[in-house]
Amino acid sequence: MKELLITSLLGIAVLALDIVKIRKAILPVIVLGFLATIASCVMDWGMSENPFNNNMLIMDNFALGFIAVLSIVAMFWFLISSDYFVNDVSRTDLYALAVFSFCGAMVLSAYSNLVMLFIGIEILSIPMYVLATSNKKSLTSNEAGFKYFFLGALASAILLFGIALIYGATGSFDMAAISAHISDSGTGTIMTAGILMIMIGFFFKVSIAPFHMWTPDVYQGSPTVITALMSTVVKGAAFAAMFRFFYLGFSSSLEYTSTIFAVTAALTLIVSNVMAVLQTNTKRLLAYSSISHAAFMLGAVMTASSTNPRILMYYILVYSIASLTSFTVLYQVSKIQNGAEGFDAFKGLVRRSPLMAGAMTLSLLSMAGIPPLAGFMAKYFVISAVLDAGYTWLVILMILSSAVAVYYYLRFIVAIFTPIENAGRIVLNDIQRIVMIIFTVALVALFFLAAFV
Amino acid sequence: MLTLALIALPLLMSGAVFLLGAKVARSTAMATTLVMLGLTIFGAVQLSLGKTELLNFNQNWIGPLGLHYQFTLDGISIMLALLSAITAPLIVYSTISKTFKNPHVFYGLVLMMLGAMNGAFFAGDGLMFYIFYEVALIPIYFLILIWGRGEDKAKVTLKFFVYTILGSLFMLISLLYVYQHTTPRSFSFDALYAAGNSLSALEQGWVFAGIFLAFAVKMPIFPFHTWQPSTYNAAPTAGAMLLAAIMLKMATFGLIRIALPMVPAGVAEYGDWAIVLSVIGIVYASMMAIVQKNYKLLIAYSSIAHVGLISAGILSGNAQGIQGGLFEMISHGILSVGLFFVYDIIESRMGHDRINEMGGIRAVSPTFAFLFFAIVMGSVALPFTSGFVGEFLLLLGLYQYSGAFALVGGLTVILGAVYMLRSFQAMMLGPENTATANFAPLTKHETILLTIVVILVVGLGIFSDPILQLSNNAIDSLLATTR
Repeated sequence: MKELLITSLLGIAVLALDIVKIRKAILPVIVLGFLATIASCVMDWGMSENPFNNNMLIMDNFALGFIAVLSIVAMFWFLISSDYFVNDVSRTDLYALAVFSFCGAMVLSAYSNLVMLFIGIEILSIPMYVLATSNKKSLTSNEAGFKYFFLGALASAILLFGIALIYGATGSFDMAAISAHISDSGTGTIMTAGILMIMIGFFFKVSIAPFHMWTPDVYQGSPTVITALMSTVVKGAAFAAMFRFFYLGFSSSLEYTSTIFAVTAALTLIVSNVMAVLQTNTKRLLAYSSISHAAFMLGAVMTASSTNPRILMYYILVYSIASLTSFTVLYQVSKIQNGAEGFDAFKGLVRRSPLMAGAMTLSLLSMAGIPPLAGFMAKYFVISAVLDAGYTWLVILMILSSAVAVYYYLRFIVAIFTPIENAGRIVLNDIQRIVMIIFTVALVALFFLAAFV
Repeated sequence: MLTLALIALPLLMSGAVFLLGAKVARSTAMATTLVMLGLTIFGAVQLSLGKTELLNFNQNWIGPLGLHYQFTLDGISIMLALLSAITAPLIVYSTISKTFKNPHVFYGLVLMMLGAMNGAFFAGDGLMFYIFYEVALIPIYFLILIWGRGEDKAKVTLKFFVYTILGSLFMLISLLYVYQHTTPRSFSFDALYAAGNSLSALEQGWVFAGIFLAFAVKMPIFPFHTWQPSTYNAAPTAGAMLLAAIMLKMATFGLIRIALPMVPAGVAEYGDWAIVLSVIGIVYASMMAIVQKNYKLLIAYSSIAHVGLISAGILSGNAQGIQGGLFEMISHGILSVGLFFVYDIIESRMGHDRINEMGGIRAVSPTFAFLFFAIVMGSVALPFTSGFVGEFLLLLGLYQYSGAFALVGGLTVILGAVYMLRSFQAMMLGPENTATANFAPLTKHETILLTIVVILVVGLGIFSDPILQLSNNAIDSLLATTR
C-alpha cells in the first residue's frame, strides 16, 4: 500500500512546491518519489499479500512487479522530457497531472475489485485527457484531447456496463468471489455479455482493432512528449489491468475468449502494419507501430492462464524504452525544424546528434525484433506462449507482420544515415543525454538479462 | 572456451575499435583477424588430435525454456571456421590502400560481422544459430548503406534487409515448431534432431520448406535471388567480399547443420524440389553471367551459380556431396575474395568495370594478368585448383543421387568456363586501347594479396586431403544419425 501513498503524496507535494515557489526542486522530488516507489516495491516483494480496505487492492507480486516496471518507465519519462516543461506557465499542473495519472496506473496493477478497476481507469485517463490538450494554442492538440475524451468516456461507459452485468450475475464486485462463483456455477449469458463488454472497454483503452481508430489521431495531435507517455505508461497500465482481469478472476473464461483475442490480435496486426506502411508522417507511423505492439501484448494476455505475467512486464518495459526513445528523438528533431514530422526531418541525424541517431537506430531495431536487442526476446516470449496455446496461424501472422515492420522501421534508419549539407547540431541537456545512454545500454543488456524473465 | 573466444574476441574488439578511434582502427582489425586465424588453426590441430575439451562450451542462458550458450567446434564447423579465419585477414588486408570515412566504424562493423558469423558456425543451439544469423545482418546492412555506392543504395539495402529477414523468420517458425516437440523443452541441436526425426514426413516437409526458404534467400537460390546482384553491386568491395565469401555460407552450412539431420524424411521426400530450384539457378545464373557487361555483376551471378551447385550437392545427402559442399565453401570463399579484389584493382584504375571497354591489360601489366588468370582457373575448376576438388566431389555426390541432375549441374563448370574465360579475354587480351594503355602496374600490397589467394587456391587443390580429413568423421556420424 505504501507505493500508492508515496505517489499520491508526491503529486500533492509537486503542487505544494509550486505554491511555495521552489519550482527547481520539482523534478528532483519527482525522481526521488519514483525511486522511493521502486524501492518500496523491492522491499515488499514476496511478502504476504496485505489486502487494503476489504480486498479493494492487493499488493501481490503481480502488482508490485508492474508498479516497479511502470515506475521505472515513468521516472525516465519525466527525466527525458524535462525540457518540454521548462517554458510552460502551467508546467507544475502538467507535472502533477502526470503523477496523478500514474496513481491510476498503480490502482490498475493492484485492483482486486471491479469497482477499483473502473476507478483506476478513470484516475489514469482523466489527467491524460487534460495532458493531451496541454498545447492549448494548437488546434490538433485540442482536437486530440476532445477525441480522446469522448471515445475514452464511451469506452469507460461500456466497461462500467460490463461490470454492472457481472455484478448482476454474481452479486459481487470482488474478483475472488466472482472467480469462486464461476468455478461453482460456470458463466451464464449475462456474465458472458459482461465479460465481452469489459473486453471491449479494454480494447478501446489499449487500441486493439477494430477499436483503435482514435489512436493515430490522438497520438498525432497530442504534444509528442505526452504521446510518449500514452504509448508507454498508459498502455502498459491498461494491459496490466487486462492481464490481471483474466489472470486473477476470469482465467476460466479464456477458453472461449481466447478465440476472440486471437482474431482481434490478427486484425490488429494486419490493420496496423498495412496502415503504417502507408504513412508519411512519422508520428502517425509510430502510433500505428504502437498499435501493432499492442497486438503482441494481447498475445501475452490471451495466454494469461498458462503463462506468467513476467512476459508481459518484460514486453512493456522493453517496448516502453524503445518507444520513449523514438518519441523523444522525434520531438527533438521536429522541434528544431518547425514541427516537421516527415521522414525528411530525420535526415542527417547521424551528424546532428550521433547519440540520438544511435539510440533511435537501436530502439527501432529493437521494436522490429532483431537480435541482439531486447525486442527480439520480448517478441520471442510472446510468440512462444501463443504457439504453446496452439495458435500456429497467429504466430505465422505475427512473424510476417514483423517482416513488414522491418520495412517501415528501416525507412527511419535510411533517413537517419542520409547525409545532408550544413546540418545544425541538436543539443540535449545532460540529463537527457545520460538517459539516452542508459536506454541504449538497456536495450542490449535486457536481451541477455531475459534469462530472469 | 576456444569457440567462445573466437566469437567473443571479434565482438569485443569491434567495441574496442569503435572506442579507440580512426587512427588505429585498421591495424587493430588486422591484428584481431590474425589472432583469430591463429586460434582457429590451433583449434583445427586440437580437433585432429581428438582433444575436444577446449572446443565445447555450454552454459545455460534461459533454463526453463531450454536455451543455452552452446558452442561447439566439430569437423563440420571447423571448415567454416577455417574459411572465415582465412578470408577475414585477406578482406581486411584488401582495404589497406583505401581511405574510408569513419574507418573505426567501418572496421568495427566488419569485426562485429565476423563475430556474429562465427557464432552461427559454432552454435550448438538452434536459437543461438538464429540469433547470430540475424545479428550478422545488421553490420553488413550499415556497411552497404553508409559506404556503398550508387544513388539507389538505400532502396537496394532495404530490399536486401527485408528480404533476408522475411526468409529467416520462416526458419524461426520451423525451429519453433520442432522445439514445441522436444521434451523437456530444449533448443540444443541434439534435442531438435530427435524431435524433428519423430515428426511425420509431411510435417518434416513443411519444416524443411521453412528452413530452405530462409537459406534459399540468403544463398541465394533461384527464384529468391533478386536482391543479390544489386546488393553486391552497391556494396563496398570489402562488403561484397564478406557477403560472398562468408555470409552466404551460413546458409549452406545451415543446410548441413540443421536441415539434413533434423528433418531427414522431409529432405528425402521434398528435397527434389529444392535441388531442382538449385539446378535451375545454376543454369539461369550462368546464362545471366554470360550476358553481363559489368564485371562485378558477372561475379555476382557466378556466385549464384556456384552456390546453386553447393546446395544441390549438399541436399543429395551423401558423404561426397556434403564433403564437396564443405570444401567448395572454402574454395568459393577464397576465390570470391580474389575475384572481388581483381574487380577492385580494375575499378580503381579504370573508374568503371565495363568489360567491353577494356582489353590488352596483359600487355601492360603481365603480373596482374597472370595472377588473375590463376584465379580464373580456380573458378572454372581446373584440376589442381581448389575449385576442382570441391566441384568434382559435389558433382560426384549429385550423380549418385541422380544422373540427370548431375548432368545439368555439370553445366556450372562448362558455362563457368565460358563466362570466366570470355570476360578474361575481353579485359586482358587483345590490343590495348587508350584507356588501358596507362593501366598502372600492381602495387606491392595488391601483388601480395593476389599471390596469397593464388597460393591458397593451388595449395588447397593439391593438398586437399588434410582438409578433407578434418571433416570426415563428423560427416560419417552425421549421416549415421540421418539413416
